[in-house]
Amino acid sequence: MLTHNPYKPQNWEIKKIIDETPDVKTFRLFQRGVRPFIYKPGQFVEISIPGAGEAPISITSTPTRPDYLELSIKKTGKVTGLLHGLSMGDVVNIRGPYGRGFPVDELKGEDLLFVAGGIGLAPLRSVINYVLDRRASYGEVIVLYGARSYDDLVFKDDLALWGSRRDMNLLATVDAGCDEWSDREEGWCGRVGVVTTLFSECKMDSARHLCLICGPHIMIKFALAGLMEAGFKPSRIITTLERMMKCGIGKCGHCNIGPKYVCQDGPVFTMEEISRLYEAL
Amino acid sequence: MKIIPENKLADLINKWRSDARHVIGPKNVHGDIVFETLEKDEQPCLDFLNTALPPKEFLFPMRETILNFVPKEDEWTPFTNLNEGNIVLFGIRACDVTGINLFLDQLFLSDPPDPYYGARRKSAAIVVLACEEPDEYCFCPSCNSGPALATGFDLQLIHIGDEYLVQIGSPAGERLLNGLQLETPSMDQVGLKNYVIDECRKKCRKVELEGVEEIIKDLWEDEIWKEVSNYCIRCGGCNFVCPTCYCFDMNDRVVSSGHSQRMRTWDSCLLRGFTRMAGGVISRDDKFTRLRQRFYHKLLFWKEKWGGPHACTGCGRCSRVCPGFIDFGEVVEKIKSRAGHADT
Repeated sequence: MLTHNPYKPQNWEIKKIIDETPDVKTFRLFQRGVRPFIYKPGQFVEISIPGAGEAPISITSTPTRPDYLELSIKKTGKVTGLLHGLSMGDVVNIRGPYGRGFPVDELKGEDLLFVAGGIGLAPLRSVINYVLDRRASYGEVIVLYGARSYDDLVFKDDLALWGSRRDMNLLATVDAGCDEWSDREEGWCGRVGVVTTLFSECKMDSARHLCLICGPHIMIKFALAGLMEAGFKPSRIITTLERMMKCGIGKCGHCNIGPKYVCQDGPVFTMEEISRLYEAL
Repeated sequence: MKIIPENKLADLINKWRSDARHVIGPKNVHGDIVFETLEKDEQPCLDFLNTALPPKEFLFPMRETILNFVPKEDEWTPFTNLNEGNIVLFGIRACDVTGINLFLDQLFLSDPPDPYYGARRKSAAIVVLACEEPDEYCFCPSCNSGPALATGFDLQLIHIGDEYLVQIGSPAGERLLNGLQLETPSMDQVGLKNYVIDECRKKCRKVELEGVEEIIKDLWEDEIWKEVSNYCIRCGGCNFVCPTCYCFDMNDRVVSSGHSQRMRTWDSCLLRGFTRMAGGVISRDDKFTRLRQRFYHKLLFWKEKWGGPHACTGCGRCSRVCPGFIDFGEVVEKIKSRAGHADT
């Protein structure tokens, strides 16, 4: 008898689709049925369309806003390509959540420095909004965000909101500027250059700040070098690792790095943990 | 312990079949020894070194449907027609049973348990046929996994002269012999059994694995991985024949308009696409990094994650099938020769 089947997904309905960039859409989803869906920032799901297969996608909404689930999906392959063709009211299949998320409880009281590149803001947005919804429990919040161009900035509504808040500090930059970007008058935007150029401006302090970082491989590499130079301890830098998690439950071997499975032991790791993992970055 | 004459083995297998059990055993198919269903009146081939593939496919098929999607039902339904019945895996070598007991069970039955493997495993009775003769690649004694087992079987048969000595390893094994009038072996027969196993053990190659996990730790950047992988044609054969390899891929198959199946298929860490991520980035793009992963996983990572032995049962299949003649034992020797000479 097959009792609990960990591979069986549930049906979720698309209630809203937000075009973030030319190749990133955010899907706001509601679950059909009553099965509770309890998750932590940093966890991921396997999303699928029958006939196309599954894709591991990190959750970008926060459990502090439990009415819906949001996934921001970049069009990169077969499954994500088909997802981009869906409309409101369509149904997708989801199983999860999987993995070890960000340690939001342990982060209480800490001064937090977020460093994000491109779509890498998606999992961090979950933590940022979690922290903002429980603002009193956390210390200072600084968000540094970089993207290739103005068009590639995701979550522009959140960015505008974060930029206007006095209880946090957002600085954004793009690799290649444009008039629409440079002429803006809000203090958080208008900069041109890679995200590491924001390090000096944000008054980061390795003695005080705990850094959460996510983005493309090349950005993480340079940002880590900058953070280490600034004296950050590897145990106080937290990131998420990308791998093609197929099963999500520690069986299929695709996300194996050293003795760890990214799908169960991660995707969130401290740099100290990663330094012991041979090939992680 | 019981004794069963060679010519009574057929009765035993027929009895299992009449008990509505599905008997799977070694057969000679055009010169290859493979595990297949033994049909009515069909008898196993018992004169063989080892089968081309371990019998893991009967618990974890090369390709299986795990979920079905039919639009009418608007949801994925678990595929439950596992066709497992009550199977008897007859004539398995000790090394391959070790692969199931210590490795596949550990992975698939740990939390959350895999329901497909679990259902098949529960219904499978294991009848070991101990080895009398190794070939030049066999090194099960070095892995404590043969030529015969001490525990972990339902029945174990050891060939002694014109008879088989039968060891009963579980209540299920006891039930497999229900209704048969079998004699208890004499002291001489028990002595003969021990002699047969010892002789086989002595002839096996020695591959000293103890401590290799400590040495390999310092060899991540060593040149040996590039040297060894020069001979790898990335066919993945070593993975597919390995009784401890378990990696799989998951993908969908469209059966007809709207009807899809979610499949899983054996996969191999030697294949380039194994670590392909969104956007096409491949984390183990260089061939040597994939070969290195295989050896690190067998000799260190599995042990670090689960404890217990190295993830090798000494069956020798990876060495036998490698078109580039990459030999597991030789690589272990190479690793040990680098002790204290690590580049890093």
